[in-house]
Amino acid sequence: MGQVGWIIDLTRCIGCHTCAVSCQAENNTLELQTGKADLAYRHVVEVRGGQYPHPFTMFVTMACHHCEKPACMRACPVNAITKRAEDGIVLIDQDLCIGCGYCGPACPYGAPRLNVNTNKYEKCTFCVHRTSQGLAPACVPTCVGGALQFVRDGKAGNWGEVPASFADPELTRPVVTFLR
Amino acid sequence: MREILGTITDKRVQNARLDRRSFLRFSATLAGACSAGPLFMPAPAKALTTGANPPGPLETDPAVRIRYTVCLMCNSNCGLRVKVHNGVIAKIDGNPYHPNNMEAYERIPYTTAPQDALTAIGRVCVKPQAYAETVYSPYRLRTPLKRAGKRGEGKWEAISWDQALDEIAAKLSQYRSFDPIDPSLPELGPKVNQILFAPGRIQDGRKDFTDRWFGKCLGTINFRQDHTSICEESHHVAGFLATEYRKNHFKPDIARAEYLIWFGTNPLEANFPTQTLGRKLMDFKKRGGKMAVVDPRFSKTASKADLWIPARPGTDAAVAMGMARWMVDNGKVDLGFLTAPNKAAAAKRGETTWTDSTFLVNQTTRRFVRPADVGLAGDATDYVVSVNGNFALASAVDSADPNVTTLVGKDAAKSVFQMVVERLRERTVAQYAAIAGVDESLLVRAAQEFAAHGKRSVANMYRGTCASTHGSYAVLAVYVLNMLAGNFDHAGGNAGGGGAFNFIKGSGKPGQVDASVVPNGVTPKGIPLTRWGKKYEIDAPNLFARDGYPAKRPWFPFATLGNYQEVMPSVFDGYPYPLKALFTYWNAWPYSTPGQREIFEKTVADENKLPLFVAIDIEMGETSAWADYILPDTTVLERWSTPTVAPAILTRTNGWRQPVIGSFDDKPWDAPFDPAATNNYRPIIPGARMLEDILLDLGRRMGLPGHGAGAFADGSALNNAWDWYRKLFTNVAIEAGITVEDGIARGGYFDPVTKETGADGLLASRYGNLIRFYQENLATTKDSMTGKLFDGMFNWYPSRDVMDRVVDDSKDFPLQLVTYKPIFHAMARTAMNPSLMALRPTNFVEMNTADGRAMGLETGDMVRVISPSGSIGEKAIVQLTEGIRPGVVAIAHSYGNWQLSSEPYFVDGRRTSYDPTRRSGIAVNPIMRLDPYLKNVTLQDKIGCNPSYQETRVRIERIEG
Repeated sequence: MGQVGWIIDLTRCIGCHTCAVSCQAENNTLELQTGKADLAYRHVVEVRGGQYPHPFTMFVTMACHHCEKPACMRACPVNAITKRAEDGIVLIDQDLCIGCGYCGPACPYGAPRLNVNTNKYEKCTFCVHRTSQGLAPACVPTCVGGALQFVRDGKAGNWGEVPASFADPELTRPVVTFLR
Repeated sequence: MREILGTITDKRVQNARLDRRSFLRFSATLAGACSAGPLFMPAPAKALTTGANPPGPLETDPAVRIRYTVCLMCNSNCGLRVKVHNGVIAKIDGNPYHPNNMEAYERIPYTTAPQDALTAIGRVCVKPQAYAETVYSPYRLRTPLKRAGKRGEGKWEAISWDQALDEIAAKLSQYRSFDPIDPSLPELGPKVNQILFAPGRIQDGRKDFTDRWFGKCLGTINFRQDHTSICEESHHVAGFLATEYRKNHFKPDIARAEYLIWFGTNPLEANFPTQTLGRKLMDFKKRGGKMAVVDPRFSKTASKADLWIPARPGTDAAVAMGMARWMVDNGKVDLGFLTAPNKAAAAKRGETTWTDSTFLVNQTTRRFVRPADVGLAGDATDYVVSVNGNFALASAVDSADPNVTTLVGKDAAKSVFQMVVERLRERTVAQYAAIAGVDESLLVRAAQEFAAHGKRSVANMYRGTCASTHGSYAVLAVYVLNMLAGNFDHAGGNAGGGGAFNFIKGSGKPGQVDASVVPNGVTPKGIPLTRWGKKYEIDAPNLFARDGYPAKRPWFPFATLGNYQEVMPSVFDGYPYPLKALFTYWNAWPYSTPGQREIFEKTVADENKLPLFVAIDIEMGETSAWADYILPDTTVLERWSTPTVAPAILTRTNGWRQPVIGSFDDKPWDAPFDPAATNNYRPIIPGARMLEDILLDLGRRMGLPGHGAGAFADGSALNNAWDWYRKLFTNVAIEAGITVEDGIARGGYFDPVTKETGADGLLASRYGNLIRFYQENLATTKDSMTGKLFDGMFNWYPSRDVMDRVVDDSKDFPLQLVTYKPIFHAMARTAMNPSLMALRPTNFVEMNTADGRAMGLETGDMVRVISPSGSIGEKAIVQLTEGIRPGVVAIAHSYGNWQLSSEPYFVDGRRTSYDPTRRSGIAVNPIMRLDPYLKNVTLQDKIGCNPSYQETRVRIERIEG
């Protein structure tokens, strides 16, 4: 029995940001007083390159990959970050978190984010409140291009067509497969 | 929180910024403040709510109801699944029953009981994910406002509905006279025509209500002047011209197509239904489908395409004609299809459509040759063709010659296809490529690939193509490609769509009512203010006799949906008659209309030119800021209508938009909806009202027909909004064989997921009729400005003013300006949504890296953007990109809202709170090029009424320091 993980089809992703805003709406991460989305658990990276008349754009949706060897967990000095045995979801306990900020830079993918109102770090919870009840995380069902899917029996190692800008998956063993 | 996670862990894993208790406290404040003034804050405030609840609640929560309605963030009308928790919107996703949201392989059957669909979630785009922010915006209007200073000064007093409607009724009643406006110009019609209704966005069902109210109850010919011209009216008019007014919209059958070429449209972010096209296109790509994009910008769609043709703005017609010329020269056209002169002949070829290719046209009269002209006995409406040199009736033969030049009497006559070929051959492929500013090889490659896939190739166009001074002709040029392939109605070809049941009157079955009928109502008469749908010489003979050519302002005989940008300049000019009263609804005129800010503000500032101005809106806006009265509307999630969908959907689809929050007859929020009850609606802001309820109250006070008892043709009453929609929903339910409750429970009626193709391999839902290359009506109608006959066929033209003089600003304005929308924005409304603004807080002047560096610019530099007609007042930020053609700059729309609760105003002497971040970025429409002859309106297409968005040239000046 594996753990939760993502399948991301890079051909299908159209960079519409629906996954990111759906997550924001479900998890209430928009900063109220500033309208900033710095706490967003999921965001879509737009990678541009090439030269006119042959430019290219690629879109990569990014959230926490609930790694097999989470760097955030190893970096946390107060053991606020744990990985659930039943589904591999990595969670930051808000009562234990002291806001030291070590987990942020430790993560190759920028998943842990600072909540400026609590001064603690939060990140994608794989919608544990939903997935633990047999429902899908908020980002998946609404994906316009059908690019983002999730699995419950995944494991790291089958990373697929990893985009060039993605950090070496051997570092933390994210549970994600990229398709083209 | 605890109870949701309690079964798993007691550890908190996220901090809700806004816990439920404080949120409900806030919304109670919102709800309770119906007679109080707006929130008073000493300093500008940002949005106070995201509209979202803390994570969860789950669909299985007993305090949750799943309700289905229809989105209106853009014109796609996708289904929405709204999770409502204790009367508050918790989450929005797509409706799993609705074909816009789900492909055939994933859509849940209509027969699925809603209680079994609770955990089914449909896809939807990014915009409605943020819709709760529109609904719970702290800047929503909560009482009627009456102007307390000069127009546009921003001083208001909060008044009651009674006072507002009594005052408006009294003023409007003065103007509701059926005496002629001008006895010497009887064609203008009665004085009641001096009342005009200008909705920005109004939808099916609601539009029919206001047509009825303003047209048949009030009686004005100006019962609707909506935004369509600034969107895509030239696309619609061209489509109507090609199909003899049967159909104005086709979309490719993407699911079965092999090759697509998109002209001037970006379906992965715009066009409609956006998310549907996005989903189908990604399936298409994964299947190996190939596509090309014609766009000066490397749009998201271009980034997924196999070929990007970076044509100059306004040259789509040249690309299409270059491709068509290559196809004709290389015999890559379906001559069999083109030589079928009638339906039966088409059927013998396995076709359901046919063209006018073989019909003969008298080159002197520009009219079709008719049987009597050549001594044939036949119906006067039949056409004449040539078969091996002999004249024949088009209806009587199976095939006719496509390339004919002959004589009819003394006049030269040619077959339409001969005219098509001659028109295409006026330029070489190299010359077409030069107009477009691209290499000839790109046009040839596109033509080869298009031709290689036969009827599974489709060319599609939208605003980039139609929004120029020759937009209608450009759209017709792209139609040529599809006609040469003969792909209409074919699987993988050009699809007319599944349509919808007629909600206004059904089909005469027992229990259905034609809701548009008003017993003892008025039949509106006369000339609409913007002269649309009328011929100058014939419909206004006295005016024509008085003024001749050029008319004082252009007439638009082929328009089908009015002319939005002409209203204010016509009011200013008082042509053809002055206006007395203006009602606007969800309208952002000076913001959304090119080149309109100055003329709009100048005109409405003058109470002599416009004595009464009533705006209906949900917030203060660029238009409503200038009104005499503002009446607060409810938001899209608090109203009904009966929206339909675009031809991307091949099955019959009737969406039902319905309130998902608020209450009916003061019952609890979660009481099941009872269609038989009165259903007076109480929105979450009690001081706001549905548009229908506003107009019904106003109409009752004025004693208009079509209100109250006996208002409908069956004698039933029209007292509130539900009385209207009960009729519409019932009409659809009877057609579909369902109950109204069934439709309410699923957000509409949607034909089952059946095969979208027929037994003959063609699409099940088909257009099945004639498609015209040649527009006889255009060719025989005089242009009201030049007195010359219009060109009868597709063509490319340079930018021209209303007198057909070429407009060339290139000397002092070296760059061409285009605009576009990112997928997370729509029109003038999404600056209200912090989640959407956060994705890109400002817009930029996007220019080619080489162009920018040559000017010494880098990304982040501040510049001024100047056109012949104005300069952007805000500092604009440069963004260099490889993804745009040199010589072109692009500025995204939906930014720079100068009044969308982005500036404070005063109510009862107190300054309101506002959100200045809604103003961020630059608004591009105000600098769009004005017509050099008329001077107070933008360049526009006289046939289809589109203003030009593609023919403004600019220069960029660096701002030092």
